[in-house]
Amino acid sequence: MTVLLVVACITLYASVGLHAQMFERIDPMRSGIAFRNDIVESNSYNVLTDFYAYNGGGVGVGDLDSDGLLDVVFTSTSSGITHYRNKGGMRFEDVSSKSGLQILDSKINTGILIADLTGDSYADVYICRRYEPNRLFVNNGNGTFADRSIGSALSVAVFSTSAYAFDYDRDGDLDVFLVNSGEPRRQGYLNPGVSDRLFRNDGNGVFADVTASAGILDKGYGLSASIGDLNNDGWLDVFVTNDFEERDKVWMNSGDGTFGDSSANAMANMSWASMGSDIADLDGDGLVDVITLDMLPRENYRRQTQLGGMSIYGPFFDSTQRVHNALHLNRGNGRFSNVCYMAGVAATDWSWCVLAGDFDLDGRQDLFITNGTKRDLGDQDYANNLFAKSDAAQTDAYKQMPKSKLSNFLFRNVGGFRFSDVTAVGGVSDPEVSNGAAMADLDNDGDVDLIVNNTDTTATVFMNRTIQPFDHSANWIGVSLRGGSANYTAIGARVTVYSGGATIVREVMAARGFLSTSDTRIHIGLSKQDVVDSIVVRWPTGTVSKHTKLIAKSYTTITMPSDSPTWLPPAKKPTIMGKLREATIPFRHQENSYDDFKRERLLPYRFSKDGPGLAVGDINGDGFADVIVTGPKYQATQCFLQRPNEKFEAFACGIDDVVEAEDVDVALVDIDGDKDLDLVVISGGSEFDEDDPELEDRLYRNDGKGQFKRVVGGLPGGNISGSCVEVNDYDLDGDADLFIGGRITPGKFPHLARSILYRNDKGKFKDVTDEMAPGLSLVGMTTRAIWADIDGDKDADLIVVGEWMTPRIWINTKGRFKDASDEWGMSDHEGWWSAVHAVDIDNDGDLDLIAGNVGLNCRFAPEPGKPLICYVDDFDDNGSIDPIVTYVVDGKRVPTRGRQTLMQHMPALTRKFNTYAQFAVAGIDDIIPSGRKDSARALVAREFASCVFINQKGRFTAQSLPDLAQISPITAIITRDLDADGDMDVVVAGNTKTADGDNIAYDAGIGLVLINDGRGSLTPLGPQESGFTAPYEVRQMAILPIAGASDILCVAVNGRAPRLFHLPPEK
Amino acid sequence: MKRLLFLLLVVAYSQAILAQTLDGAQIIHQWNRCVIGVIMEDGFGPPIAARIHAYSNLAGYQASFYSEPGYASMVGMLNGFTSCPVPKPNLVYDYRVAAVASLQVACSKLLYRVSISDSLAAVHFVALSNEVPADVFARSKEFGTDIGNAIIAYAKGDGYARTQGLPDYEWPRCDSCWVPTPPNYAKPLSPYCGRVRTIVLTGPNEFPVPPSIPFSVKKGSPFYNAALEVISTNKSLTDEQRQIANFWNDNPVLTNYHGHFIFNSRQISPGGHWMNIAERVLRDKNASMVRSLEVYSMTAFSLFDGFTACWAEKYRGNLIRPVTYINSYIDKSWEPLLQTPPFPEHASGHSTITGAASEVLTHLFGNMEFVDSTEVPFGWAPRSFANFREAAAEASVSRMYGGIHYRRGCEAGSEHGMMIGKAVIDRVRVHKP
Repeated sequence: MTVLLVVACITLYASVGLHAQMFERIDPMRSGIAFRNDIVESNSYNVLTDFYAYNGGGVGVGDLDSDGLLDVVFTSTSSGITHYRNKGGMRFEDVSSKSGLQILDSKINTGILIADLTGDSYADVYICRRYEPNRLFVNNGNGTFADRSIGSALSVAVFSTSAYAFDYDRDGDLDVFLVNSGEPRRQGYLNPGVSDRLFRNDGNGVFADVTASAGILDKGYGLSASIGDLNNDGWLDVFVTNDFEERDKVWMNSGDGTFGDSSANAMANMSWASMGSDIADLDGDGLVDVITLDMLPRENYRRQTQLGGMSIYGPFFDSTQRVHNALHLNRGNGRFSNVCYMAGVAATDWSWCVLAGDFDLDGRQDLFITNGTKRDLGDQDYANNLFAKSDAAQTDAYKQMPKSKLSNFLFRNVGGFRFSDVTAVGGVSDPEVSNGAAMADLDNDGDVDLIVNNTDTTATVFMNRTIQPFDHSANWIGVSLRGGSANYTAIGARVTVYSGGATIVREVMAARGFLSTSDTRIHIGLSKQDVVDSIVVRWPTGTVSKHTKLIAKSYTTITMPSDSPTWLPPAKKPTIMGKLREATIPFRHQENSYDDFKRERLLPYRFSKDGPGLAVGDINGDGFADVIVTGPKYQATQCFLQRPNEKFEAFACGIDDVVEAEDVDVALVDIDGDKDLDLVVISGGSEFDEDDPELEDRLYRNDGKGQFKRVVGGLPGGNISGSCVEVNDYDLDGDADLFIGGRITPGKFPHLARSILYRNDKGKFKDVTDEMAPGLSLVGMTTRAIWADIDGDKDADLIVVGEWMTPRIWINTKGRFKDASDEWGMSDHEGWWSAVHAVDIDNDGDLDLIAGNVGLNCRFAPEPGKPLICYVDDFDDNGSIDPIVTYVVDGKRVPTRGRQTLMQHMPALTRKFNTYAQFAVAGIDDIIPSGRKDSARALVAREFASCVFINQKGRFTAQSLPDLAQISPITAIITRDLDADGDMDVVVAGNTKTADGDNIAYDAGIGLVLINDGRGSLTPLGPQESGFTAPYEVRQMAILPIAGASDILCVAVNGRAPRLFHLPPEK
Repeated sequence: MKRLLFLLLVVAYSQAILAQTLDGAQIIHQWNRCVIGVIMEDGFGPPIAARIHAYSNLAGYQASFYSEPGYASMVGMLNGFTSCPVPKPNLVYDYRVAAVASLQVACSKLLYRVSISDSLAAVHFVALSNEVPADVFARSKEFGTDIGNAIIAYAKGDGYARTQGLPDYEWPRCDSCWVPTPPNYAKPLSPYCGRVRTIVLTGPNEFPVPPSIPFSVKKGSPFYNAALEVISTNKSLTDEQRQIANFWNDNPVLTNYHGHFIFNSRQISPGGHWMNIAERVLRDKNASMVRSLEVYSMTAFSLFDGFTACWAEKYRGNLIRPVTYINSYIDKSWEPLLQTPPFPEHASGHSTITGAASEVLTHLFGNMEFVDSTEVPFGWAPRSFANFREAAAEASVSRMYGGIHYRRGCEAGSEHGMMIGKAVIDRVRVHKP
């Protein structure tokens, strides 16, 4: 396999060789950099004796001799450190023996921090070590160093990974955050960790350990930190990546010397084995984002052989962590959305260092990522075939572990939060095992070069060729800040560049990526005609200054003015909506835990977390709108009466007769014409068996005072697991008829449940599905439906959406229904639809549809022409259904699940695929017995985007919602004129934590307001302006009229209390 | 690595075979080795491994018992085993060929890595075809194939495949209930094995399992004291006891954690251990082919029914493992010497099958000294025993030394197992009167 990969890489490399490459690899003979980090294994040092044995070394850059050129220092796993002096022109000289920057023992070195720690304006060097005291080398002022470790508080012997200099208390000098890993890990038993440390600089290089008083408590296996002002309050925050189960930490700086971890609310999901990280504004919105690395391989072959299909359901595994890189988009309200899949950066294999820099000088921050390990620790075949031996014999077992080298990754930022993989044309694709890396303009030509510390091969110097000698076409500006004397490179400063209408935000940071220190100067590409109008600098001590008359195509040094004013955070502007206290409706949905995958291992997602449903109406006839929220299994559906002052009160309305059913939807409707609202409750879920009584939908009659009485047999259509109820007088006879959506036959995915059309015959419901709407009963695995007169003939048509189906249009002609989806242009939109709403979005007089789908931020989001197909049959003839979901990757249709999961469900397959390697090259045709695929049922999903379907006189045209609306599923949609401009704006929300063991959840969303320009063009509005934040698993939304006050938007959330927002009054 | 070992083994067979006429018993022993090895590589859990040994040896026996006088067909002695092909009268057969063919066919449906069993069969067929006239060879192979297919059809009727299609087992939650154990917190192993048809017993519950000590979390209660005994025994293990615990560990899949590098190491299963002891004794005694198959079959039946009956009890009682109890109520950082296997405690499966197998071997060979070198490939020195029951007693108590069972669980398993062994002896009477 290794050979194959190498060949593939070489081929790729050769095919792009003709193009100009962004980076040129400088020959070590020319650069003089011959450093290599040889990780020498022995029976006493290998990944079995030290599980971080292959983590590699770092790279530090800094002007150590104050000659204006950045020098380079490498750390080696067991051969000390190597100091190269920059002689200019990309030539370097090893001066380690002369400079005093030397470690002569063979103990383990990890990260390197280069920063002025003594406050004398000369760069010092701090080396992190494992099992040994860290070393502090103080600059003598002339590029030579004295080892001042002894006696320094920084010389702690904890298993350090890397150190970061920043001025957390804004007192002008640089403090140090030290990231440490834990002791050797014994999974499952007690897990002793060593917490990270914070050292306060008390002047003159004297440090005090203030970890405890600052509130830093982290028991994780820290692999990196990134520092930046995440909440834009002027105080630097610390993001820490932790390996394994411990979550990454978001240490928000409260400004009083203490930090608080806000990761629980800030990040709904994150990388599991988080490694390197960086902080930068990646989407150009002025807010700094976070990127973290993990080990998800890009190609199917390595995904299958190195991971083997993860099953992260278990007591150890926190379902908020997954094996993928994370791109945490800063949403501006303390919350982040991981958009890694949509961004295209989720999978870069076993990755160590990520650096965000404007490599192509186009104004946007690109990404460089290093990867590889000395041995394939994840190789499933190796891991599963080791012979048990006594301890003595096992010490050399590491020798058989396979090796492979991987291509690093270069991603070009193409705007929004989308990245394009330009590794091949970028010139960085040589297969290597690469660990730490730094970015720096080594030749001072204005573009950012890269230096990479490789395991077992010579370090790589990549010269950036964006700016060529005598070619002045690239337009850029370099900013070199001069802060106070104790922080002369102004680490932690925020620079905002205003140029031709563009606003570009950068922060100055030294240590970043992984084990490494980069250039503290800022490099920004400008488009050709633009000039820099001004630069605003927020200095690390909290002052702000503005600078104009800046010259492009050169470095500008900006020195901190002594008299600048203090920077103040921008005043908060009023928002469109305002959040109410959650206790206003005293209800908490308590979803019981049920693991559908134990019953049906190959399910693509769970069916046991639908609900709560929501209905609004005056149930007791007092003129105020009341609320009904449905309960999950073991919790009854409940009524809440509206009281004065926006309060709601639980009310025993007589519907607590059923608690074992999973109620998923509810409708309030006058069925008997007695002018009160009767009740229809739909039960669903998958925790039952086919036809179980808990699946019976229920009808209750209102006594006019809000007391409901069950009408036994009132909905005679059978016990089905349903999804929704929609009410309309479709036959125009003056009473309310019903459509009830059928979802699934429990335990038998993908067998459908019947959907039912009920006609109201004088207060009694009759199942008229087959009579009035032949075919509707098996319309699909429905999730939602809506009645809407889309053809303008004054009767309501029925639109049904669901999973593995296209939105279905059933046209009503005098009370009879016909599926007209094809005529309406709806044939090819099979998706995992989860919401539908009808509104005239483009103000042309007819009804358009907004339909929520699973979104595009998915590992398996289908590309055009390459749908997901689920093949269904009992392929191994053992009595259980085998639904195998497949997708096309690397040109081949393969199962989405790995060998492990598939073989657990279909053990007979093990006979055919003895190894993970055999399975990794198998296509679906190799897996399904020959002749069985064509006869198998095939479910298709080809569209994952949430869409607006514009009604163009009898035909719908699909338009995708904006990218920010695609980062998670949309399960609830309402429309309302929020900005009082006469058109309907849109509010969407969603998220589901129901995905399979490889995906876990789709939960990046925090809800979104989309403002309509009046012609149907929708623009996202950030939460700071909209005031709307709806994280977690939103299921339904409804507008609640409040007596004497503005309406409330009620958001029903699975497993939580409803969230409530004041809506602006309608015009 | 392991694959390589097998190929070498196969090459070694072929050279040994060409040198002399092929002894039927040697062939059978090589199949026993092969099945034990593939089971390890395939990673079957102990109950399923025992099932594989049972049906493969039954196939070998039914295809070849005709070659030695005094042996009878097992038709009618085993549950649901009502018919099996017989050789055509007045024709010559080579029953070594038939045995190999039947074993190959049976293994092809019982094992996963069938390329290994297929290549062993190929080696045997090549050697035998040099000795056996072509028509006899062809006829014998066909007969063996028919037997193999018949045994597979018989095996299919035991409901095992259905248990594989069932949803994951949802274990009950209560104070005394088993929960997944560290370090793997693995899902319960083979929870439905107790539903598979027993091969000799009238059903999994034919013999009562002596009950566990009534559960209590109270200090000083018998249950609490039983847990204390596990701790104190574990803390003061002598070298000999430690040796014993490791020698009988027989955990087929051990998961080892080294940070991101997580690997499974393989060992022989408890059943495989006893199949290996049987082989050792048969080789020492220079037993014939049919005698060997008789011994293997009866041993395997006792293992198969032992596991089935024990598993039915384990998942009926769902008793908490020592590690969980001790970590919850006595010492939160206590670790057992051995990795706790992923299923309920009561009764000890190893004790049960060991009791059963040792009864069968005692019946077949009497009280005889033997040396058990099964664990040498896994790094543990050979141990010698005065008789099978002594070995069984040691294997049983080893589970408490290892910290994975209470003493009562071991004793109950042994008692239950001995009853099962006796039933196998009573009901499988292959010697014609």
